Amino acid sequence: MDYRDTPEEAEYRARLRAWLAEIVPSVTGGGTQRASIYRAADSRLWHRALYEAGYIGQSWPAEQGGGGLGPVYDYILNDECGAAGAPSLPSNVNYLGRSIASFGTPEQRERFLVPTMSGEIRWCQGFSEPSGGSDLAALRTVAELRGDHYVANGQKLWTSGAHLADWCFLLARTDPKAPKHKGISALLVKMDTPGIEPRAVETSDGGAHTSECFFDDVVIPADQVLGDPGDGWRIAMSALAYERGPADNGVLSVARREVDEIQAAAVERGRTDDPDVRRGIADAHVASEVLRLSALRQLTLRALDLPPGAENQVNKILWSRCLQRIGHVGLELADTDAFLHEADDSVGRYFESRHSSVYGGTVQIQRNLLARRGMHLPTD
Amino acid sequence: MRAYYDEEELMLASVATDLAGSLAITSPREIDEGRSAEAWKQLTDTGLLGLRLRSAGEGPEGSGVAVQIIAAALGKALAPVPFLESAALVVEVLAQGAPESAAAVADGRSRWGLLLAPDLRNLAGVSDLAAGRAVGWGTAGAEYGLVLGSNREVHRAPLAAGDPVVRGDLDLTRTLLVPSVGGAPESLGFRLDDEAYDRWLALALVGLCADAQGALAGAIAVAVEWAKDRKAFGKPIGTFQALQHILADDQVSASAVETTTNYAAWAIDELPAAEALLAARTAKAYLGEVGRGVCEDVMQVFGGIGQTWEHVGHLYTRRVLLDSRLFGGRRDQLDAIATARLD
Repeated sequence: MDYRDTPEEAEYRARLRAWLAEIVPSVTGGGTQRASIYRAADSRLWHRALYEAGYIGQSWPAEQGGGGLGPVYDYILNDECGAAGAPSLPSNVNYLGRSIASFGTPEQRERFLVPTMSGEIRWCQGFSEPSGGSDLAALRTVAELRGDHYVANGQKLWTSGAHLADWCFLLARTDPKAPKHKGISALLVKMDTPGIEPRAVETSDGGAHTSECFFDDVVIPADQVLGDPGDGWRIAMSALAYERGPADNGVLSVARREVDEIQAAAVERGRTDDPDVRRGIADAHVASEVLRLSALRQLTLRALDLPPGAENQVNKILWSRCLQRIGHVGLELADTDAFLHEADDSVGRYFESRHSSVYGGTVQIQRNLLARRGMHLPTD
Repeated sequence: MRAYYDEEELMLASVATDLAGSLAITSPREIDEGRSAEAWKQLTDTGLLGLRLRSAGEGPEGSGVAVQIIAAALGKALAPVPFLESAALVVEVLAQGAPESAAAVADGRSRWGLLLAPDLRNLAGVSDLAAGRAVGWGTAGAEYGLVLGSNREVHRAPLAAGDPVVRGDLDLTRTLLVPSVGGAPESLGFRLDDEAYDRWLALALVGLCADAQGALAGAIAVAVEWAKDRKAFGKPIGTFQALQHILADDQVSASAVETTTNYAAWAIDELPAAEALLAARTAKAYLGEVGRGVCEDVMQVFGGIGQTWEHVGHLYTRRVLLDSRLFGGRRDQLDAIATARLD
């Protein structure tokens, strides 16, 4: 165990901290930033600034165009962004970018990686479907090969940011005769291709949006299949492993910032003498510390090249437990303000926290995986 | 940064697991004084009692993480041996100003225990002892009980030999006793300042969290094995999703108890005392949130047999209940965390 920064990590942290002190006020205008893994897609300015300073893709392998830093640097990035009250880190760049880096042809890497990192290309993720829910491999969207191109038809749901995205990372069935998991391919699709229609879906918090996306005879050049045709499931699982990591999505920084915001609101309202308020803040502190330390362990195991074992599921479940605890505490601290619409963010934060046990694979799916793969409980 | 055990720590964990395996309790029938005495002798022979000894001008021989590793292994085995209360936490105090006494405890020549305040939140004061309210923890067979005078001046209370009188046996593997005081407490001529006391308290909280960490891991492990073997409706009960989800959630909680305790254990020797104490309180507050529920789930997974006296289930629950409560439960820790953040 050694939670102290190495000299290299300390130097990185100091540089990052100084940079954040300068950049954060200029991108936020000094206001508070309610957490949103969706809203990250809105902030091109912030994304661009992160890219130019070298913080996007910092832990991807250098030979794939990344910064080549160890996984623990992603923890430091989260930690400092949270402390600085920075906007959320762009959420899907890390795991979709890694997939392109890992599975793409040299031409695809050349074409997509740098623009993805810089924010010039923004992605939406076309995985889930209305009919499938958690059973991702049951997806029905088809992409039929006709000569040098595919023709895609179907509907995707939870394609967050689709209305702003330039490209879609689409999972579609390219071989209807193959077994469920084998007939899926990952296709990279330009969002302005005729036949694509994104529609906004308002989420329960009322503020943030996700999307659905319709594909009607959408023509996709065959060289935009990522990896090999039929490799889609393997690629999707690799992407999901990173999508579920709290430090891979900036969730650590969100949790830390939210605890600070809840505390600041309590101080502002003069409620810090109330024992319930005090315990609520401490409770939120504990929840965010649990997530921070667990995610750091996950990154350490990744750095040591140890198999993650149950760490991915443990961390995804702790992620939703943490945000939902903070959501509850925030609502309780706001008290009547939540009902009289005078609260700053507590209602929105609460409903947004409810999403966290669904997105990226529900808590129930994580429990299944953890029980069967991590704990080796028997299947039927 | 490295939030995982290094080679040396993994080796210590392996040694500790072997040792604890030979001290393990798997049913209330196995608990008796003879077994505890044998367990103590084995622990003494390993040299692990002196982990927190200091050579002149240097830090402790064994880190806070080493204490965590040993305590977790003993907790997992439900070992009836007072590693924290008669070794690590005693030596930690004595090493500050009574090095010869510390050395005598470390090599087994002298046996001590802790005297606790009646609310179990603190070490007893001399006045608690005088009023007959002090609670003995690890005082069975001990010559001295550690107690604090005014201004946290460290005292030892001589204890009389004789059969221990049980004050509380909620935890069957670590009973709390009525200390049989054999004379007036004597000052050891040094005091614990705020810094030293905070660090000591952090070690106490970490040790308790680690013991519970082990007990939770042990409880989940027996439940998982049971779920694989036990059949109902013609198949192993572990195939049922209702049960898988309970155990998966427990695994998440137990894993998080370990990681929060890892950080707090490391912090004891590496961070300013106030930060180390905050980390320890955070781990203890989290234990207080999840520990009991995990044990209840394990007893539930065992069904009827898990409700019987003969079964090991309640031994884990009892151990975790005591760990969660000593030196302050969840609410106490939350209040202290709020003070650290707000005041």
